Amino acid sequence: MVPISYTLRSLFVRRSATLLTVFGIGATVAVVAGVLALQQGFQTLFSESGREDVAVFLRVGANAEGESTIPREQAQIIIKGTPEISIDEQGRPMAALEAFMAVLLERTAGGDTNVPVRGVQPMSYAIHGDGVRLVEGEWPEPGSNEIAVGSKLVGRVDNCRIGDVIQINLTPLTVVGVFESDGPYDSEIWGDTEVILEALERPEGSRVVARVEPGTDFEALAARVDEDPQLTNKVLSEREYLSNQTQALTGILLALGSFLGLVMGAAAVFTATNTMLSAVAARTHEIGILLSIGYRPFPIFLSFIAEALVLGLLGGLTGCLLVLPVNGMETGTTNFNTFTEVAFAFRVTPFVLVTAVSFSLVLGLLGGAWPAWRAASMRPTEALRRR
Amino acid sequence: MLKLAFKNLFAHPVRTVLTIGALAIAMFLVCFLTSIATALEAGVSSNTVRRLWTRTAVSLFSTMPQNYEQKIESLPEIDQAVKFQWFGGYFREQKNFFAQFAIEPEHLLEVYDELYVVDGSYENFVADRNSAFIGKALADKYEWKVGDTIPLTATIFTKPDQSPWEFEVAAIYEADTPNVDRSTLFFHWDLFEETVKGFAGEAPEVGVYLFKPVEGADLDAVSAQVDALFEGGPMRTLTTTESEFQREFIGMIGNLPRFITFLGTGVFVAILLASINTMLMAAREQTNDVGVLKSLGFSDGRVFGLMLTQGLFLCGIGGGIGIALAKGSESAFRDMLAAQFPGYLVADATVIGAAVLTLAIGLVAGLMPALHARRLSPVAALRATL
Amino acid sequence: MSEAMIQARGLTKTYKRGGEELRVLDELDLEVEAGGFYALMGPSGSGKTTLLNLIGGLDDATSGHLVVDGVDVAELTGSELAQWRSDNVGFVFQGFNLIPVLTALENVMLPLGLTPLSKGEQRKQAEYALELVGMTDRMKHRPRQLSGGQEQRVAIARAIATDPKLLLADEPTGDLDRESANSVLELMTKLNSELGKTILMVTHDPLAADYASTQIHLDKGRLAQVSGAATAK
Repeated sequence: MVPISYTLRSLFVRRSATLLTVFGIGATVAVVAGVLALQQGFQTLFSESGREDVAVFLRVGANAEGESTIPREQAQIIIKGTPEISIDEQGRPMAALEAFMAVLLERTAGGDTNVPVRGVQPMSYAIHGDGVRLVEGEWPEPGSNEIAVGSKLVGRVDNCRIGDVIQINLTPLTVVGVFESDGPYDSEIWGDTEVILEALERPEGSRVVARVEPGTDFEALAARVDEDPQLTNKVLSEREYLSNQTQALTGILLALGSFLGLVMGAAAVFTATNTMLSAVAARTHEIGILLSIGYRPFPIFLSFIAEALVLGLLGGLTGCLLVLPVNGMETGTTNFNTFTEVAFAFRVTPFVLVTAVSFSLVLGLLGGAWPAWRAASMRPTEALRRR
Repeated sequence: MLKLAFKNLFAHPVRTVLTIGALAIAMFLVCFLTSIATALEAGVSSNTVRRLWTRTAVSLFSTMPQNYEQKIESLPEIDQAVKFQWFGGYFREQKNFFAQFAIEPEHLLEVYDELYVVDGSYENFVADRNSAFIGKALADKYEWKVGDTIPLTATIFTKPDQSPWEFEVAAIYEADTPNVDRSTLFFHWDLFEETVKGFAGEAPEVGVYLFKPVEGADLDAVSAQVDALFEGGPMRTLTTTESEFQREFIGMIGNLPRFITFLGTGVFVAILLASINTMLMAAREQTNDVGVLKSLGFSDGRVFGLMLTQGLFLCGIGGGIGIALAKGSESAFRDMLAAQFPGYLVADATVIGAAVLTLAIGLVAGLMPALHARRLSPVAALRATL
Repeated sequence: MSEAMIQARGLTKTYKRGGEELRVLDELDLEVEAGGFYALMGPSGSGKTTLLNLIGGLDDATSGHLVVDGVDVAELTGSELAQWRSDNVGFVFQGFNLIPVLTALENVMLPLGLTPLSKGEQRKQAEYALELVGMTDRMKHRPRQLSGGQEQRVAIARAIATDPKLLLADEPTGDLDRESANSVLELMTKLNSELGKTILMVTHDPLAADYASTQIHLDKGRLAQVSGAATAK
């Protein structure tokens, strides 16, 4: 086998070509990784924060709260008819009717944005538990015009500080608290369900949330709710509900990432092939010597493949380094399922890094395959004849 | 000498083809991304239409009472306001998604005078309550013809038995301006109201009121007047021109322009590196030739020009192919992206910009080997390969 | 009547290599008359190729004087030197050094592109040069389709295309077999005797040197000996 030091030394000797190829692959990988990091950040926010012990009831046929309507009577029927719902110390079912609407508010930086406004009932706080935490001020008084804002809104949306007044339709609502959450809730404004519904001129709530016993079989529950003639509803765990929200955006970003990866990858492969071809051409004489000494073609083939893989690996690592600064960077985008703006951070997860490096190795491999084959199929006498 | 530059490129056909390929791909991508950005703008900036949209000040998803129509029409500058309600359904599968509106057919074309009928008859559409008026792009995509029945699964206005809403195609429209979507399905307000009343118990409300003020009216003044009518509710309104609304809409998608710039930069860097790499490799191989040329009496400046020309040629060909590809695929992409990005267009500005970029890359890629060749002593050059 | 074509006084050329200074030419004095066919000889490292390069303006001397055909070569600037070289000097190399991507005809036309001649005139002149060297029937061929001897003939045609007075050859037969070498040397003799070109040929092949009328021997960067017809000192 050709020693690995030979491979590394060859790359070092042709420094400028090596560097250019490495950066070419690096740029490609960085772009693809950037798109993936965006998707991961979004997905992490949603899918990892949903609770397995919270059930979400929607109107059948609705894919998100924004499309769902649940009349008050219906909510009562649901709550009474679902024994899986936990009971708190006072003997009350831990369930609440929530209202949801994407409301147009002004951004501090100019322009408008769709902010999710949620009407909650007192039981909601218990249901969401410590997934939602007050960090400043107090929770709104039930039945009053008080509201609490998610921490991500403060400073980004106008009038989101304690003491400010936000007007929704004709109703002025006073900010009394700021809260944060593990999931997307801290991009929302929370108020009393009835007050919010009235302000929005909506007669019906959007969903029912309930805490259920740990280990509840959601499949069985969902099947039962589907079959129940009284209930035109469907139910899923909060975890599943939030995960589903990511579908649209994930789809778009993955498609974008793949497209870019393919296109830029092709260009990177061409560059790598060029570099490797040049390397083979420059070392023709050497290869002739190796062959005449007694090295078989296959180890030579492997040696060049190894060189190409090292190029790819270096490119992948460069790409990862280039994309790392983006990790944790806050950004916002539209949740296309509810058409509301949600703030989250780029997340360069292990998945992103592994994908990036694997991708770069594939690029290196593709780039080096043909030149390596060329090198291995050289005839020794011809190779030696070249100066 | 130009001949020499050209022939030098094809001395190593494989390498040249690969580099041209990389350049073409990258330039195509730059054009593509720019065109997406253009698509977002096109619908907005070319829109000088005097159409106003009144919707609620509260949310895209809120509605206004039907009696707002009379009140709006009571203003002297407004003749006819048309009710629009977004339906939000899909055809068979969720991914088959396009715009659908319940509207009042009698006055639609007054407010949307860019539309013209290309198949079927508008009178039939008005006469038949169960019919639909669809855009040509939509008809082409799903191969719908006049007379076909289209079932739509509702997500907002779901019937209790979850059966689809069905419409028969009465006419197909086209529009020549980029800001009008050619993939919309319009159907009767009356049918909509009756059906919803049937299962919900109440008549539906209105999502948007569209109207065109009379000639010479001040759009801002009229908008303010309409909103003033409903200051006291029950639902406050926000009236804007169509282009303002579209701009807001795009703005809601988030920081797309910045994202596209980030992508474009990455692509640009990748290509620049690819072309510099090739040029340097070619230059290295031409060391001997440079020595020969200088020994023949070619001055340093001439040799500099030769190398630079080679760089420009290479990038010119690669970039040119990429731009041509982008332009050639324009209509294909326009149809493919019609739902998300209507108005995808490879504008002249894009083409020119890409050409300038190509030139710049050629200069940069050719500069290094050119400078090197200029300074190369002939003796060293000739000795280098012995 | 022949006069001094080349005059070197105290010509010195030094190189720095790895921290050490190498004196390749050491205060060389030489006078060469026009119209002669000279062989420049000497052991390896004696400076003969360097001298050739200096005469042709491909390199600069470290110190001393060098006048070629009445022109002080050291005084010329970059582009002047290039122009002077185009008009006055033709080079022939051991490795032929034809541009691989061009045909024989295109190779010969290359130096003509630097002259004010029209494309048609350049072509005619190139074809004439190729005729002189006997390569007319292969002028559309690329270098790799030619044998070594044929390549060198084309190289010679290229060297004389602009009709320079001085032909500088660096081991022109080094890569050729005996037969091709002889025919190339005969060609060069013809160019000297019939066209009056001054030829300076570096060689270490005594058989090649026999074709020259005068042999100039260098040793350690200095003139060691001149033998043959006394047209150099």
